[in-house]
Amino acid sequence: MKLGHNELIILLTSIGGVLILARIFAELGKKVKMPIVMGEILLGIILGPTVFGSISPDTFSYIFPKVGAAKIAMDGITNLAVIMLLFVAGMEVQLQIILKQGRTAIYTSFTSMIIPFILGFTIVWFFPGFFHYPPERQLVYAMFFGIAMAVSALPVITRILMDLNLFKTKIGMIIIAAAIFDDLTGWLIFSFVLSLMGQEGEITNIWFTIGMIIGFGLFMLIVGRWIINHVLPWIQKNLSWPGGVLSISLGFCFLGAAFTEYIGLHAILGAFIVGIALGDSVHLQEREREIIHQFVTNVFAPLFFVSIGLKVNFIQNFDWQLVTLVVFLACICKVFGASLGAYLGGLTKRESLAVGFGLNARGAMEIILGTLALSAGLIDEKMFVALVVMALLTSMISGPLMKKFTD
Amino acid sequence: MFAELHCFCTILKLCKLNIVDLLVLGALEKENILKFYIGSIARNISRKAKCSVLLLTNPSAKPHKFKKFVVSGVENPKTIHTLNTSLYLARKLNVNDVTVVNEVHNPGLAMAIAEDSTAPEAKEIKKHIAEDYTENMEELISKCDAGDIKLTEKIIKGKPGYAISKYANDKKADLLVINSPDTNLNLFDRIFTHDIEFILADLPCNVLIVHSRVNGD
Repeated sequence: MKLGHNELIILLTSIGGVLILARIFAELGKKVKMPIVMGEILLGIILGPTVFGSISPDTFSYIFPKVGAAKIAMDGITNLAVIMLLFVAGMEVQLQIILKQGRTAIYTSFTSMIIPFILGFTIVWFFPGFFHYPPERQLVYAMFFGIAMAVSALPVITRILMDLNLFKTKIGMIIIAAAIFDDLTGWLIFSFVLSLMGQEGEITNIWFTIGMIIGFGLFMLIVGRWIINHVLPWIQKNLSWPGGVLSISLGFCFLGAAFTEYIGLHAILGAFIVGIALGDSVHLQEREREIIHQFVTNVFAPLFFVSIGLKVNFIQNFDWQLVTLVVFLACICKVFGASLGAYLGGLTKRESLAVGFGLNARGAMEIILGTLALSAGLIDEKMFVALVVMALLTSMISGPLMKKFTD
Repeated sequence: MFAELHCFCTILKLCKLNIVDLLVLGALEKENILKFYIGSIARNISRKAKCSVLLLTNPSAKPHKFKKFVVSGVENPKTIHTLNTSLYLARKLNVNDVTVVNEVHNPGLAMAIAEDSTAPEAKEIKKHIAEDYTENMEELISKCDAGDIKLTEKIIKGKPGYAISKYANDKKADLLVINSPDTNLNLFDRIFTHDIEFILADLPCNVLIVHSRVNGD
């Protein structure tokens, strides 16, 4: 299928319009202390079937077609965006930070991951009536819901810590360390869950998948990192800057993504692990790290987050009972799990609760997780809307509640 | 003292038995990738010793005079003892050029700034963080007795361990002084590289790892 003259114009117009409007919405949202991602999703909801699509369905279908080459091209771009978002998320995963922070961080990291995961898993397993999934998908659905309860959003958390002037404090570093751990384990388990979904939703060879994830991870962390550590100084010295670093880094990212997709794992895993290997390189300069983040966060992330609102009707799929349940469970599981670890690790009750509420922010990571699950057919649109609402609400309440317990 | 040495464990046991204060070892400057993961005797001792360790990259019968020290000023309760040890050694060796270095490394910061900071905001955040590091460094230096030795403060950006190692190499320091690791290091710390592993992988100069007996060990 070829992209025709008119389709190209529509595609370029929609991309250009979305980028400009997303920036305006994000900046307006900032004025009322709203996370950037919330402004972008709000724009998607306004431009999508929820508002614009129901007012003028024909114009909506013309600008954002549901079939044809322009639709395929747009899907390709949003797929690239999610791969790059996972790549930059991986770049911030530095496990030595957890080890360095000692016992409290290790306890908090484990409990903030394991307790929400177990609670989320158990609730889906024993109370299937609250959720809508085919019986044969009980295991993968329960695992997915456990992960959805357990993930954190490092960028949102870092921002909150900076705003509260807690970034370099003991509590701040414990929260950062635990968020890194939650991100790492959450995405590894999620890749595993996605890999379990066979072509027809059948469970494939579990041990083979686990072996491939561990094998690829270790290969990239030892051999891949060694290659990056040797190639990066050469690029910095001999190629134009920062273009050389940017293109080669993203090249590695897409090759890693292609490889994991080829071996039956999801492309996000490859991008995420290549991100870890690159971000861990001692040769990656702070400025280069910032440029890669700026490129992905300001060009591709808005396209991705706006596209979420374009896909789903948020009013039709808003099930207030499910939303309440998901928000309630997410807050209870995460705050309890993280606070318990922090308390066992030696913090006071108030400090532990501050850690719990800090880690409760889900932000963009939860939304990416939900989108991938929706695309894979693992969850329905009602659960997706509930997860998006939960991600936005937890990101907004995290700062004020943390402040309450640190003052 | 002579003992039959089977492995680095014997040396470590002897050190513990005799409550040794300082163990002096010769060490190759660089390890290959295989040795890095398996570990050489000098490196393994450095990772696990419960006493201070001096790694000499070019041990010689005719030692040359030490002129420059680089000391790690990392925020850790052990650092004040490490700095005082460095100053004691500097006085004994008539070294006047001692630089205390702290490494700025903030995971997650680049991502958070990229999301929603204007250029002046990003600059202000970075300035504020740098000021925090400088204040902590000044507080550390004010607690130690430098006497007539001129201490220079330096804040550098980069991964802890690697950044100070590179700085010591660029400055052509004679001795790099660092804290001993808080825990016994193992293979896991080489895969998810611990700060000290960056230094041990490629010694920039002679290295003194100061073991503070803060926990009585």
